[in-house]
Amino acid sequence: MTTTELALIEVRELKVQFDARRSDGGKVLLKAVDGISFSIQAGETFALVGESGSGKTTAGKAVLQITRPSSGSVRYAGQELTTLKGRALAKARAGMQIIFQNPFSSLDPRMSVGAIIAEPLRLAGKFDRAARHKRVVELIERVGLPRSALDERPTNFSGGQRQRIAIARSLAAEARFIVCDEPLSAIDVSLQAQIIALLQEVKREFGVTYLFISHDLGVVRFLADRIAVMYLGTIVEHGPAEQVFTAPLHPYTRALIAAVPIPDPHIEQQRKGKLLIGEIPDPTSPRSGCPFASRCAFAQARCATEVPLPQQASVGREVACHFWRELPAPLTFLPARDAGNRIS
Amino acid sequence: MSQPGTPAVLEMRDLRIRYHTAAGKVIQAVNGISLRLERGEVLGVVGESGSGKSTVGLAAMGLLPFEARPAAEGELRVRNRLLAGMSAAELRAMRGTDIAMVFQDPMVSLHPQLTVNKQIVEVLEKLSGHKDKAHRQRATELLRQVGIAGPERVAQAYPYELSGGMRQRVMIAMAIAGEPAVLIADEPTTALDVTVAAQIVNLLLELRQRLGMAMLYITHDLALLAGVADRIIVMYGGRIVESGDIRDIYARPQHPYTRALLGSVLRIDRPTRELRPIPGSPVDPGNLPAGCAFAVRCPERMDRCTLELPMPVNIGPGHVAACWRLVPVNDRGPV
Repeated sequence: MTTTELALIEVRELKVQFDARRSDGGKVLLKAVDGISFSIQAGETFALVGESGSGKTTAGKAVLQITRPSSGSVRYAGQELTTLKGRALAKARAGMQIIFQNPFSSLDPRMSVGAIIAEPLRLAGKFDRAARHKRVVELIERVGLPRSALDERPTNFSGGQRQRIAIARSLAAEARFIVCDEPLSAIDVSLQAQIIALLQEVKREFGVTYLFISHDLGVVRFLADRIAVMYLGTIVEHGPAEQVFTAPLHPYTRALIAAVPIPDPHIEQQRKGKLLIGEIPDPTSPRSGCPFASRCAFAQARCATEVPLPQQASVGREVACHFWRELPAPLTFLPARDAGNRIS
Repeated sequence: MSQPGTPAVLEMRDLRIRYHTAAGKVIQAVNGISLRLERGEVLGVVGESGSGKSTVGLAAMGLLPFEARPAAEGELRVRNRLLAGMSAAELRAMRGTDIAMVFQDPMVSLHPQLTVNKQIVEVLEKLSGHKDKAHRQRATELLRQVGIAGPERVAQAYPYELSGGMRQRVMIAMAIAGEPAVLIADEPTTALDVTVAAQIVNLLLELRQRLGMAMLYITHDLALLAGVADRIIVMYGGRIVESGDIRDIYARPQHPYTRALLGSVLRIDRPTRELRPIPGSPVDPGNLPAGCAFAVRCPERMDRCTLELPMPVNIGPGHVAACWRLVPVNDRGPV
């Protein structure tokens, strides 16, 4: 297990619940995040993966206290955030940033790009005008945009360029920890690699730690050191990324990996019929037992009645499945990273 | 491969579409596209934003924006009938029965205040030209055909009550109601989770088998397309830069752009720390260069590329690409 004293982020038994209405008008409690725990070491990239409705985005926002948790603990650099408010929270949260999924709505269209990047510097009050301008120019160039971009509005830029602006803004705020919430989903596949490369460079140069939230497992395999797989607000599997990809333990993890398309017609046209059936259920509908049981190919009677608790499978690896030891070999087999061939 | 004699269900010859923006700029969206789609075939259309791939789909439906219509040149035939001369009524009659379309975002195409049943019944009324009590039942049957469990319940639902995957299934039910010969699928799974995307792709392929429907599958996702298409065309700057059998193109991509596209995908089965982004941004169709549109981003650029437009050359059976570096098969001399 990870040593908690060194963790930059420490999340324990985090719950986020909302009052929601059913379609028949009745009131229900929506358990978006239902008791998750994980820690992120400084310098690490930790990924939360799962389908939409898994609670991964809510979990990311709850870590930042953008959405306040219903219960549980979030510590950043040792300090508890859930009990803080106002100025004390703002102070404790300095250094935490988020890059949103939709760069078309997350940048203020009335501000110039230069003003957007300068804002955190201005608020910090550490720089005079000239020093601020110098820093903003450095940052815009660092993220691969021309200096002339500073005078323009965000609306003049493509999805990928806007994410570059968002990254520059995070760097201006001297981010140590950045939540990246599906940062690539508004970008063409062909241009995603540029942004991934930039995120990697930023991590190395500025010593940033990422919480990377994504449903794209190809990208996650490339970027993440450790991952947690979420389903209906719970973590079903948790461990070092390479281990989870090469030897997934939970049936849901296996199904997610198997659903990722591979750009090779020989492989793709042969693997039809091994699909995960159905969709993630309505989180407000009552359930007992394993949240994944209704879609699981290996579910047994016990799964419908008894909630599986996380079990330690090996060092740093947890799985919440009654039968993980008894499952047949996975349908997909991914080669380990070092065995990767580099023929292009 | 196009076989002479087999009638194409969709055919384009040297299609050119440009339009003026409000700011007076000329957008050269499509610049000479020729393609044939035969009965039951799936043709993949790959390209980045601005490649003209969606405009090709809209043109086939006769749904080009008003300002683009007068400027459309070349031939476009659906089931051997030329679109250019059709009246608005003829176009409406063609849509749904000869050709139908599924879009990326079903929420935009579905009416938010009508139940699913009402919307499908409307389509059936339009197709048959009259109201009929039997339409209700047919609507439920269509929902069952697109793999919706409990179709009676879903028929009574409003679009906002359904998940993205369910909404896309409803859109597909409406599209296949008239058993069209051609289905245009424009990024039908881009907004969905990989798990649900795989289900939708399987559904489309199953319907293609069952209905003998041909598909033009438009996407920027080469990984997904690998399991869908029989042949593909790769578009850049409104032109086809490479086309051919899907296995050929993925195994032996010849155009530098196709190679770059395939290289930029992070394969979950290729565990590498290597990242090969395509540099720069996609070409702006409002500002096309004189030569090859990909030249500025191309690692294999020669002087000639920026000056002269490369013409498509045959580089193998059914395999065509437009690049100055390529030598046509007939010019290679005896092996």
